[in-house]
Amino acid sequence: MGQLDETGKKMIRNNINFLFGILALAYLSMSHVGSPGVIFEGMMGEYRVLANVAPPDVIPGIAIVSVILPDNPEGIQLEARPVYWSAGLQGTPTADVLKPVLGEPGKYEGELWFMQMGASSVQLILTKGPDRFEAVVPIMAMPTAQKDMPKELGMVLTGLGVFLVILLVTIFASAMGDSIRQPGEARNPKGQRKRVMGTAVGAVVVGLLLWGGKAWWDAEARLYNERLYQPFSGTSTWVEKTDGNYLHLKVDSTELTYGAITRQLSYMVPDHGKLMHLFLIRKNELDVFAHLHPKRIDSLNYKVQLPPLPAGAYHVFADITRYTGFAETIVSELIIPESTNFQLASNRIVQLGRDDTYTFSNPVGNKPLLLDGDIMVCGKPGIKTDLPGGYSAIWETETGKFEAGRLYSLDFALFDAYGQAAQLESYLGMMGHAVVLKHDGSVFIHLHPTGTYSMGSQQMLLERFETGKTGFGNLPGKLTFLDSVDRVVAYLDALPDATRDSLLMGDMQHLPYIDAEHEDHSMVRFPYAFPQPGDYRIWIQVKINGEIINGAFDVEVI
Amino acid sequence: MKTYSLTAVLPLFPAEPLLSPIYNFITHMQPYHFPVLLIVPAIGIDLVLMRSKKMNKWLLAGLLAVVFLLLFVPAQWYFAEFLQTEAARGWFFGRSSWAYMTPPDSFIRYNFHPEYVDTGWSLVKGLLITLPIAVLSSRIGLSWGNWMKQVKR
Repeated sequence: MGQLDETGKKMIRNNINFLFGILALAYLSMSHVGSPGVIFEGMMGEYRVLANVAPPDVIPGIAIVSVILPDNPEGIQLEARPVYWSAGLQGTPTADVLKPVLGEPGKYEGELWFMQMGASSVQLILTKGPDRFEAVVPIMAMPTAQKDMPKELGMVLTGLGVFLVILLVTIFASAMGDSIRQPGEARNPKGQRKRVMGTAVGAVVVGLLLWGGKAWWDAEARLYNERLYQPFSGTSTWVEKTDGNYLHLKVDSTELTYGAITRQLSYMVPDHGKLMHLFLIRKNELDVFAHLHPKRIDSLNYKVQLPPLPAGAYHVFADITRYTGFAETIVSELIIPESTNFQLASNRIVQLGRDDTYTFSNPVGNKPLLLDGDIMVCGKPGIKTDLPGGYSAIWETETGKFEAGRLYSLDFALFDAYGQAAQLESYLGMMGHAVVLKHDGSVFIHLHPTGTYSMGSQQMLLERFETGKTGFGNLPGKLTFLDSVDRVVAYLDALPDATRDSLLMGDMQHLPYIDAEHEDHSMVRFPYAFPQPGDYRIWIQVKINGEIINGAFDVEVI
Repeated sequence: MKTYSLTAVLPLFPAEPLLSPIYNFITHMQPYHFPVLLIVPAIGIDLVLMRSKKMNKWLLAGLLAVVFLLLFVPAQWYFAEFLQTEAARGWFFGRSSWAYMTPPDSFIRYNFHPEYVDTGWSLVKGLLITLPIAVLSSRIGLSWGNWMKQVKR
């Protein structure tokens, strides 16, 4: 409660900070690394909806919501409103109408204000006549940027400021020197002296005012800085044990300056039935990729058995979600030493978790992306990659060219060894998972066919909205919560695949999109907008015949 | 009077919050806080000024500072306590005022924030710091008033 009241007060101050800030200095991002935009794909009623939300980078700040309805239906109205986990649906004002974008049929756009920090969402409302459809897209409303005044505005304001100082000092001088002289009477030496004194006094007073203003401004900036989103720092270590090699991830929560409840690690909840999704990618070559699910030792320590991976430095990205809807990625680095027992390790049968997987692919090179003219899917050219087990995947792309900031549907077709459409099965409740990594590691994201947001977070938000609860009081106890979540995860882990998948899929309220064009082969598609130009590698993960199949694709984004 | 008009008039206009999150579901504009009781020390200061035309200006400033503190601190202190009571929650004192973005059941809605309440030595220390500031501002006020009386153009 105290926390909220504090937020209210700070909000007004932050408002001032915001009004003057235009340019981004620092750029951080949560929930995923370097990819702030949130993309949602789903069905609202009978319409396919693609939404792209650019969350605010300062709080209070504006999120830009653009929605594409590929079918461009007539007679519909689209609205959006920001719904906080803490305030629920009833704590949210009436929705704003999203306006159609001129010249782009089926595209709607609008702006939403996010006034407080915390786990939030954009609720989309589509109405057609008496029918009303809703969807919730999770947004982590946290300040990630400190902005700077643009030079031109600074120059104008400085000029006006100097003018005001001169005026004010002149007023002092006139008040002391001339104001008590009779009109018409000539200025005498005494008056002249007083005038000089007035100038001096005025200069001192104005100087003190300016100094006070500067001190206040700096204090505000410091306060804002303390509130900037700071990712958790994690340390990954390689641990050798008799039964195999382990990764030990230790999370440091001591630097957390804000969000003691919202970002509480004890409130972690499973996403796709797993408490933590950990991705290991060998640095530079990006030729080794593993998707593992560590077990919790305690709220700050996690461990998982490693598959036989070659030595080297690895990027470690650990995705987590909480009961409060707050999802983020913990980034660390793992060094696997040139091990004396690497041979031994690979000879040993590694008992990987049944959902844990790893793959080797070619190292990234400088070869340009070439479309293979022989490979055509539905009349579109594609990029083919051979997958283990004789399977193959084709990335369908019309031009093979991708621009930063534009929303694309990344479409992959899966084939078996005979060139027939492969039968995709659900892997952790989804028809596919994808991971996008910029070669330098500055962009990382875990994608699903439903978009870029954390589905666990969406589930937490929806469940919370249903309860109608508000505020941060009456939350479950941290220790009991941790225990019961561990129990749920253990229960899920013990279930057979089919039972578990139906349980996970049932929870997630996503509707399959049946595409008449692609009935004859298995497609998995991921909506995504590359945040910045550069070289990217994309891994797709699907399940065919009970086996998890991974494939890697390279793409240059301009 | 000007600030009190904001206490009295603002809540007469209907309004609803349009920004998220909303914790306090208000249906009208929130009144301004009831003005501080400057009128009490002002009367005291006027009485002193009427009787001390010839006094040394610094001495007078000291006297005014003491009068101000002696009248204002207890008057505002007890009045503020009254404002926290249920009797003050009606339209006249405007104590129902509460921002839409803060929970209405907050423990400081009708209580002083514990961090902002001084007692004992810290209260005395605060008043001792206030006194020289009051002397100085009284002295500046006297000079200012004196100048204002002489302004010719």
